[in-house]
Amino acid sequence: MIEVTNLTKTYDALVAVDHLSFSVKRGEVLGLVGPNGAGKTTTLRALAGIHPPTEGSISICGADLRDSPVEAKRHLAFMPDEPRLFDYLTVEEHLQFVARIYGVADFRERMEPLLAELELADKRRALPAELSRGMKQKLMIACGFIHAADVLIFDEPLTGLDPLGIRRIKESITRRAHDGASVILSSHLLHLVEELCDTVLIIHNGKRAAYGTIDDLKWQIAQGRGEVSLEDAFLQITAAP
Amino acid sequence: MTRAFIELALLSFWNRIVARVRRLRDPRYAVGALFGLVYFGWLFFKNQRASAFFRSGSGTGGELRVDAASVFVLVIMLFAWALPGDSGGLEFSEAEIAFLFPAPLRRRDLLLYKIIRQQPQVMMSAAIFTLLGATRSKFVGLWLAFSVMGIYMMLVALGRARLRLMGINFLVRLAIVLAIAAGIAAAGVYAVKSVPLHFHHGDARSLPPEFAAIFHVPIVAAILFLPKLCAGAVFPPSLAALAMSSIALLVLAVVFFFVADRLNVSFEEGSVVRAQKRHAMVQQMRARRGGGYVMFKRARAPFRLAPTGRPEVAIVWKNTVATMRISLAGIVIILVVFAVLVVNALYFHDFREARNGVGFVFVMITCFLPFIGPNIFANDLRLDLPRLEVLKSYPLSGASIVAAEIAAPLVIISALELLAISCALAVLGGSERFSNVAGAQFAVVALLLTVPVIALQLLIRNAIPVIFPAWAARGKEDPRGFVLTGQRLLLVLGNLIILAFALIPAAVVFVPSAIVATKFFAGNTIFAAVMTAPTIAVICGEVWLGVRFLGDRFEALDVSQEFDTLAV
Repeated sequence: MIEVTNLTKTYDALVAVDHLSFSVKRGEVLGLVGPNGAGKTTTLRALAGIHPPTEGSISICGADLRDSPVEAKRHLAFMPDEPRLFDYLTVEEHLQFVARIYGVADFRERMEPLLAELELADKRRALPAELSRGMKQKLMIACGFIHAADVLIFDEPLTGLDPLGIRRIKESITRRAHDGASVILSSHLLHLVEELCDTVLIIHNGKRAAYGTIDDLKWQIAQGRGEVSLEDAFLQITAAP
Repeated sequence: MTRAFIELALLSFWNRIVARVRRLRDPRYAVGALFGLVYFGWLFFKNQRASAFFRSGSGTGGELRVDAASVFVLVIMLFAWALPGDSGGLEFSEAEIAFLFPAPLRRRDLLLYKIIRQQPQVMMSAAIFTLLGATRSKFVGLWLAFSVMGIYMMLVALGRARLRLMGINFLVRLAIVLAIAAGIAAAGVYAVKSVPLHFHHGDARSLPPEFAAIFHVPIVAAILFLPKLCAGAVFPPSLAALAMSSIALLVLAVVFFFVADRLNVSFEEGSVVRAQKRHAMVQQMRARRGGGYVMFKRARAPFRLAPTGRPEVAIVWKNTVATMRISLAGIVIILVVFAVLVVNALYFHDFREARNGVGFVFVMITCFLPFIGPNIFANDLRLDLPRLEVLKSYPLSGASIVAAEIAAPLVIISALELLAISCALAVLGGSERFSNVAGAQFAVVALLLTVPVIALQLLIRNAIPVIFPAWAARGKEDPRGFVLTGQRLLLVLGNLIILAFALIPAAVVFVPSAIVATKFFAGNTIFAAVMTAPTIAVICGEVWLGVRFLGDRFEALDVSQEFDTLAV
């Protein structure tokens, strides 16, 4: 579903992402982790077609993001770390707007369960200014879910959510992956990555530092010296300059 | 302690200046600063030449100016007591509250800090007034006058809080202030009556020479004693007078400070609330520019959005909703103006000239709306600037997004334009003098001509965030002073130049089509159409090319690089 080959993104002299390659299959959840400034958000924004890569190619469900951006974007939903909502649209109108952008014919049937799932039902007529940070985050996620995208990209999805909200979003992500969506999520919460993801990509200074299943990574780091956590593996992998 | 406060104030001021100078490395600020400096330099030299009257400080004119300024200062000093706020809150920044309020400082120290902290800004203001040269004021006099007024205002804020603690609420205070104001007015009337004034017939504008004597009537002189100390320092007739006024003001500053301290009012809680309110106000102002300030929260969407169909319609719908909730007041004001004008015309239906006058106003509105409208109704890409990241992730081509974004304001401004044309037509109907513009043919041609011009204007306005995103994006701190003025001047100038260039091909096409129309279709019903159709076609073509061009630029726009400093 997602094929990334030699993705490179530079800002003047700074190489934010350096020849990154990976793929995510249907139903797979990939965790993107790395220290601050490693290039996670840049990678996700390039995948969402927000900024053009300097080099390399990205394919979403067979459509090249550079050659057929509209077709590629039709299959994906991007949920940024900072909820950028339209201040003058209500919760319901946000979903209505996104549904029309993606041509969701059964929007009404989808909206009600989605609002209930994300605990937004009683806030349907509220403007973003009337929502808490966590509610805004949930609305952003609801906008991503309304068109049942094949590819879901989350940048720090649990920021600002309460414990119940965290559990609901985790369940939602897992269910959508089971239903066949390819998911990429970036997070600093390694226990979340360990809980939700099948594979993990650790990037450091824009480069791929480690890539594989969580068990494989742990095994590589442990080298037969007993049990290690993903956190131990991450710290050891990113410790090198 | 005082030394530490002075060092802190100077260091903060210096760091702010350094940060602003460093920012000039960014071309948008540097060019803005350059234009702003040139503009203010021009103003300065213009004032130097033009303000001979204000520069002459001595004589009766100089004295009168001091007296007039004294009255102004008196009004401020008196009515400051009538302001509603009585929490005693003083203006401290959130950082100052976080660091200084928990520190082991006395209230007197905090008051002293506030006065010292204000000094660099007060000096800057005094320097600007001195440089602008609109008065003969000396820098020291201005600085001291501003400082003393600042301390006085602090005293009054604490005084209002003390009065509240004494059970004197806002309404009682207001009544007392109004009573005092009435007393002062009565004293003024008495003074005017006690001085015989001889106005010269035929020169009503010049004051009689005895007028200055009013201010020397003992009761008036006593009332204006304190205000005159400030005004006298701002307009000193001589250096000796300035020195005297300065000494008097210094004494006054010390007295005000100690009285403020003796009031012993707990201002901490009120100051925290005030800082929070100020922060909220700044946030609201920033939000207003990013579409975050919704005036009519419950205004309904003007049409129902079906879940399927062309996705561009969703953007048009979104911007129309934004117009209903953000700019509805603008539409209502315009409609009220139109209604008043039409009612006026109906009222004067027997007076042809009066009706013609109203009709002419509508013709003028028709001409100017394409240029003013895109400024009033900015519910397009300019509104979505903080959300370009989200827009770019949608499955739409750049050209589709640009076209859809400008469609809503285009429809709204065009509808108002149609209304203005219809009103002009209705009011001017039957007028022989305006027979050329009072026909249906003119209305159709005017609308066909103005709609592409409105689209062109909207495209130019939307080109700024797409082609020069750094100019449209806001940094953590908004530009101020001459940088801001320069940036605005440049944007207006750029808009005019681009519009002029865009209209050149249309004008070139218009000349031959006008000749052909005059030669072969004079008096014919299709005369106006033949004359303007090629021009309309050229502008439409330009709009189409502009949308394609901006669409391509939008797709290539690297949002992260340009907008990471967006502070919305």
